[in-house]
Amino acid sequence: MTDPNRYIRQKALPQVGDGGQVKIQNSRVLIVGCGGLGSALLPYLASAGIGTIGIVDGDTISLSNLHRQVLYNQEDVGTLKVDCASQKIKKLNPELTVNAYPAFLSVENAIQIIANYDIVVDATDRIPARYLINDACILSGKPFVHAALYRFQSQVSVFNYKNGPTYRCLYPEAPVTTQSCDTAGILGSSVAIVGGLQANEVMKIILDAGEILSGQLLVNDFLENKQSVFKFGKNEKIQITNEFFENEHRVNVRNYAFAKAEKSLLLDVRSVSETPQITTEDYIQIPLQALAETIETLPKERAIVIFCKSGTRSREAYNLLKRAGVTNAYCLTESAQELYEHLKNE
Amino acid sequence: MATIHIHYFGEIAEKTGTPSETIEVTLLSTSGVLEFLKKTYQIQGNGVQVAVNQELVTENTPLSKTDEIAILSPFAGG
Repeated sequence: MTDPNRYIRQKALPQVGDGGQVKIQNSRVLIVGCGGLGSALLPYLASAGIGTIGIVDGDTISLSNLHRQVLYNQEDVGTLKVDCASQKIKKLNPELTVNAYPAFLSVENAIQIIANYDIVVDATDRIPARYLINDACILSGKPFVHAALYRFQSQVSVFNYKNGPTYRCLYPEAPVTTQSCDTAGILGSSVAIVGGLQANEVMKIILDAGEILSGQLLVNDFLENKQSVFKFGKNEKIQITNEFFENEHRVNVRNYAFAKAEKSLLLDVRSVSETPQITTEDYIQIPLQALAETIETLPKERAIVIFCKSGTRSREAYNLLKRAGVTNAYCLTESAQELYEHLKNE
Repeated sequence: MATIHIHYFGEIAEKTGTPSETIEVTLLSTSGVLEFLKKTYQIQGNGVQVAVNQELVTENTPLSKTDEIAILSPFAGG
């Protein structure tokens, strides 16, 4: 039983009231990605009394996440982000139902997971994931609240809201390469502001209050304290079908045994300093951010099997190669650590 | 030749080395601006969008000297 005092300051707002609190309680929100943006927005959504929160992320917590992913402590390093985040937000609000999905959103699971929610929050840090969310939300008829950063600048928008413009109406196709927080650098305080903006849009959608950022891209520059809003319309020519969704987001995978039998080239897209270091024949290392310029040097006559630490960067590399017309690329089923174990045991 | 003021964001601003500048274009249109970006900075392709007076344009659009031009591209980080 909810203590009537719990949400009293929130319910005092004319946009909330008793009716609004019921809407919040009945809402189901899915957060895709539990890194910087997820860490910033999850506590606010949980504390506001949202009934059900789903969290999707296959990654574990690294020491280099802690400066901005403030939901996690030093002791949490190495544990699954979704498990840790679920525990923390349940402490903030024990009335909350949390569904943790310890996997990356993919063509195989996206439609099924999204079906259980009213609103999707894109809190990922890779461009291909943003297109996947967009296309899955269009097929599922769900709105999604998007945010992305580049250093001190951010972009926030609400897509597919009441059949409004989508991410593809703004950016029809993915660019060949862009940098993530890992490579470009980011302050925790910048990502906190943007996660706050996202949480605020989620609350407005639930409450049907104010002006939603639909058909509008909010661009902020926190270094210069400048803000602009760019308007864009719906591109009716863009149609997402189930067939397009499958073809666009399907990733071909191979396991190590298969790659070895075929003498495939193992392509390591981690940065040079990452461990464990792999030494084997049929191996090449090209960090993800250098891959776009070196595509021409890759062999065309044999299969290329890509790997990294968690599978996120290898998927991005796979997409990059696919867009550049490379047809012989695959993602390795195993992580770098698992590959290292295989090689050690040979 | 005509001059027009243009704003850059994100990685595009990194490539141009400035957040905004006044440029010279042969054609006073959005395709003239895209041509300039391609020639001067090798900025082109998918994900480069032009906004005129805070509105995204998808077709080639004639410009006037006082129009405010911004170049947008997707950000990845989060």
